[in-house]
Amino acid sequence: MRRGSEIWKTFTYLARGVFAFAAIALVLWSFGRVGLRQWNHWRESAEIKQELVVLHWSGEGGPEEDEIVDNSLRAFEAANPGVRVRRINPGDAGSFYTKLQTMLASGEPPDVFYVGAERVASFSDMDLLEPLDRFLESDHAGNVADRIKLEDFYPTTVSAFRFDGKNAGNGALYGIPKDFTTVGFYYNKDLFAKAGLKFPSNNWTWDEYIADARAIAKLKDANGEPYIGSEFVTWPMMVRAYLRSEGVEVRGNNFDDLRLEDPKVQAALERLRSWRQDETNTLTSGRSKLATGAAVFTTGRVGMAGPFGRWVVPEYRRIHDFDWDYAPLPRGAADGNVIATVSWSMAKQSKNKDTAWKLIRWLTGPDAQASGAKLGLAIPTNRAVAQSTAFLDSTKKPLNNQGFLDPAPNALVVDWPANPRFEQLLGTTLDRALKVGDQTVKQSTDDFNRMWLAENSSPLARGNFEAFPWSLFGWSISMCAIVVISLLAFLALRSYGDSAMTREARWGWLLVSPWLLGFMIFMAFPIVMSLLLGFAKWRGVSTLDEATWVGWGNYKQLLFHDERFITSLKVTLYYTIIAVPGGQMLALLAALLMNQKVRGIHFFRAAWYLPSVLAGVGVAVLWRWVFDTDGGLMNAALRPLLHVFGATPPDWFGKDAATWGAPAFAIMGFWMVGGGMMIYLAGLQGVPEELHEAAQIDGVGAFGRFFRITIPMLSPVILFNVIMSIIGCFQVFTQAFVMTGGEPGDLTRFYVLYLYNQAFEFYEMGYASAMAWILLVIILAFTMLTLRGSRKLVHYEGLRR
Amino acid sequence: MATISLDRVGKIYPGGVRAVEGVDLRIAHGEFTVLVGPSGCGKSTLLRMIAGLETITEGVMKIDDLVVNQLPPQARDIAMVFQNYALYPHMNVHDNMAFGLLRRRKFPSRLKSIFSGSYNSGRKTEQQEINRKVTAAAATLGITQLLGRRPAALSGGQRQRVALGRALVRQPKVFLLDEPLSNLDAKLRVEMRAELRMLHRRLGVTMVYVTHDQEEAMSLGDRVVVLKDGLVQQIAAPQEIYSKPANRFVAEFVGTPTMNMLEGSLTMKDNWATFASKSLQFQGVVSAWQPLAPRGAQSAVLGIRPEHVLLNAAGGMSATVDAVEHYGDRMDVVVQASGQRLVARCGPDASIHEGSTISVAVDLTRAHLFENNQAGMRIG
Repeated sequence: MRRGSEIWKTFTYLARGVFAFAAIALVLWSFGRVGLRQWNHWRESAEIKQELVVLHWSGEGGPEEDEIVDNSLRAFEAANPGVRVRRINPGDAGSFYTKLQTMLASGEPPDVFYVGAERVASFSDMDLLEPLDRFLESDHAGNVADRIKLEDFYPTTVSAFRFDGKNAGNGALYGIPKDFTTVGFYYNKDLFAKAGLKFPSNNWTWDEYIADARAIAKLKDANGEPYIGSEFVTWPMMVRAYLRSEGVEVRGNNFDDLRLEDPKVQAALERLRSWRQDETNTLTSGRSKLATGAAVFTTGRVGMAGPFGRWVVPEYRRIHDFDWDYAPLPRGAADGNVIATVSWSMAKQSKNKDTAWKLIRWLTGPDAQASGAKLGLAIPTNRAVAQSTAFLDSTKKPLNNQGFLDPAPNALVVDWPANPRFEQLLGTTLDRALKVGDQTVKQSTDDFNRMWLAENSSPLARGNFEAFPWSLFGWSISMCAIVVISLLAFLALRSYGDSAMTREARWGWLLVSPWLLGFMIFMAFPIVMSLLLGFAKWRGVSTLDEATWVGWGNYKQLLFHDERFITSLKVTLYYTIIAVPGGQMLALLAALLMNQKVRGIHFFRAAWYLPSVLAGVGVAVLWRWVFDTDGGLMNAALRPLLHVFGATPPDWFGKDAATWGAPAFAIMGFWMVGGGMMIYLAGLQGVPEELHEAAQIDGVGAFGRFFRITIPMLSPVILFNVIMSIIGCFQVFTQAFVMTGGEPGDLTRFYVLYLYNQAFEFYEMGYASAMAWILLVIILAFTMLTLRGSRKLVHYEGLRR
Repeated sequence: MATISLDRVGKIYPGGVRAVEGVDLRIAHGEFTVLVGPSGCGKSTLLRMIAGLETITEGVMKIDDLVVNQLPPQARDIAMVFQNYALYPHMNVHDNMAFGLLRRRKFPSRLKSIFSGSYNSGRKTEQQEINRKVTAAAATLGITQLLGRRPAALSGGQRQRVALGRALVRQPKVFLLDEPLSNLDAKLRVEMRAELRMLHRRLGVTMVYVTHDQEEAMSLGDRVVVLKDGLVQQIAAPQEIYSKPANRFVAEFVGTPTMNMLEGSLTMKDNWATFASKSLQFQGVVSAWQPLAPRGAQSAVLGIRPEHVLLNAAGGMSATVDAVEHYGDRMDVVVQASGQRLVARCGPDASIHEGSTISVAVDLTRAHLFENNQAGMRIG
């Protein structure tokens, strides 16, 4: 069948017809599906009196947790005819909170959902949670058979969900705890035996802990590589757990009374810093989002890992290379431990509160708790269930289940103030001392105090603001929209005199209208909204009418009072300064290579381009391990090289993060120069061969030709690539979000990552919108600067031929 | 000034394609040599081999007795004008012309001297010298007023001059020109031809010129090299190429309108020649062909330039006039005689009309005789 033959024509005609039919069928089918589902929904709602929406996550519990919750809900439906429960599980905790936020903002919150104790203060401060005391009282009064008896629960877990507007522990109850955990260290029994150590007891001390860690750090494996004493994560919660065990706290009675200056606190932190920074191999600490938690311990190269709760158990049960067990947090000056717990809570905006309460009662009842305990990832809050074989399962590791229960009576919940920025700020400032080690403890705590003061004293935090004048803006935006739409309508409908031209113009408008519509709804409208929100304080967890007008407040706070904003800008600039020139040079070099006439060049080009089309998150996960300090490919390659000069490879996201954290991302970006390379390649192929020949005859060597002919001829392409690359660099997000989450300190917290934190972790949509507009101005400024600065260097003549 | 000598020079591309084969050529000091042939004949390849842009796979090439086979272009002291001029678009005319000189400076730049610590005032003098040379070359070509402009702002003819100027300013041993006039319109091309000729006379430099236009070749060259399929057909002065083409290909390639070619058989009786082609027969005394007499009747191709076909001549054969083309100074007449087509050239005043009958004769003494075979070598 040759191209152009009659058969070919008929074939293409038929093929086009089939494709067109298939496309139309697909569109109709998908509309039909949606319609059918909606129809079924309506039909069912006639029978169903009530529908509840349940939102939860299943991060560490995985599919098993998902199934257990589902079974429990289906059983509830069976027991309560006429009630239907719709379940939403976005995956891990992070996605859960994002989903919760969007549901709240759209005014359709879930009725019942998970709330971690650390969020109770901020959530009740935002008025999202329904106080549950009245339901308990009416159950008590009515003597309901399966009523919740709070005295059956571990008391701390219950008080974790009480909040009086200032402090946790007292006041209204905002959730019924479903499970909890205390924290401690998981230890590698094989390494302990190898070092001749006895296994930790349930009331061991920090002195014993560090002695064990030091003993293990002295061990060497068959290759002479040292083991590491212990993994010590420096999450704010765990730092506070550590301080509690020393009988001190970061706060007094409340968060207005901070005690970081307390000599005892300073001494305890200094001891932790010194273990990590002044000794070799004694302590390591989670270097990134991925390397924290289970991963480091599972390698078998660390003696202990913690402080972790029960949640790592499902993952550790998959370890087959060595034997392990658990020991609670060591004692210091005091016998302290902390509790992490999650509740089932009810949305303030729920429309079916009585049924929702019934569901919470069901989900926190003994049966549901017993089935949840099977997972092994948390401890039932019901004391009887926790003490039963449902939890104390001696057939599975860890054998020391009692180690989780023993500290429970003395353990306290780690509470946080209503402002969600506190926790991250504490973590990032302390990490500079504990993890990176480029600051003293005093410097870190000073940083924290200063920034927290700036945060708290900002007009944004204190001020009372008027409601956002939506009506004013609404009117003016509507007027603008009407003007634009009528202008478009006029253009579309006006007659050009010539009927053929008019028809053509109308067809043009008709065909462009899907894009135009999409642009106005999905681009223009959100852009205008974000511009307006930049002048608003809006938490993003309520509908827009609750936004308040702060004028230039967000911008003033960002530019003059937010140190972390400046830091994120600096980090981003540092990254840009390395990534843009480095990346462009490499892309050009690659393009020069790919411009050679070699057998199989198409394969090489594809191979170079391939990394640019891979999924960002997957690539980031991959590279996280490439940059792993001890076992990563990068350092494995660098170690012998640097050894020649007597140097060691950097601890990318640890001790050397200040220098090497952001550059690591640039290096990772160098792997993906394929896109730029392709553009350069096209540019190179547009440089006429005769110019090179002419220059050759003019006596210019290969290098001279590259700099005097290739570069000037390519200059418009270079300018384009540099500008695109600068824009891309300022927008870097995915890699950092996946690989480090901005840690350690704020050393890899790029601009957009900080923006994301503001929007989706601190619930400051207005603040984040302002940041987005500042970013736009910065990018615009850099682009203009580049354009202006390059005027003399860019030759467009090469393009005009 | 330089001599160029090619000894059995050939080029085979990696794919096995043979572009040039066994070229023997000696170009004298100051000679204007034109390489001419139809497209694909290897003339450009040969020029690029002289330039050093193509490797020489066979034979020996010398410039001034120096074997240059392995020398890169920059070491051969040549200049080349490209068909598309190959002006550097990002430089103005002055810089385009100075580019080749900058590369040959002896004194280090200020930047380099920072490292070497030997900044020399010679650098400044050198720069002035470069400017002087560029200005002089520009004056020669009449492009002084264009020095500040970029190539994009120039017309075709102006670009052509700049390209020439760029070659000129370097004062190279050899000038190579690769179809430099082919992108110009017809009138400008003729003008530039004369200018090139003048330039050559004034500079007295060795030039090698490539063209596919036989007229250009004849009008410019001191010597013309006719190439076909990578093989040299003839190397001779233009007049000789025209009057004594070495073979049938050269005969047909050179001259407008094309030489009339008649296949037939020749019989010589002493110096009396009889050439019969189908039902046509020409006779006459041609003493030059006398040596062919012993061979008896032989198959051959008779070539007659149109100007040697005589119309209205006494004793001619009768023919019909198919077409008449007036050129003002002359007329080309296409006639048909016994089924054979002939083109004749005559004065502008002859009264000949299309469709009329006319008598045709041939001046055999000025005819060419070629073998009737693939090679078609000249036999008389």
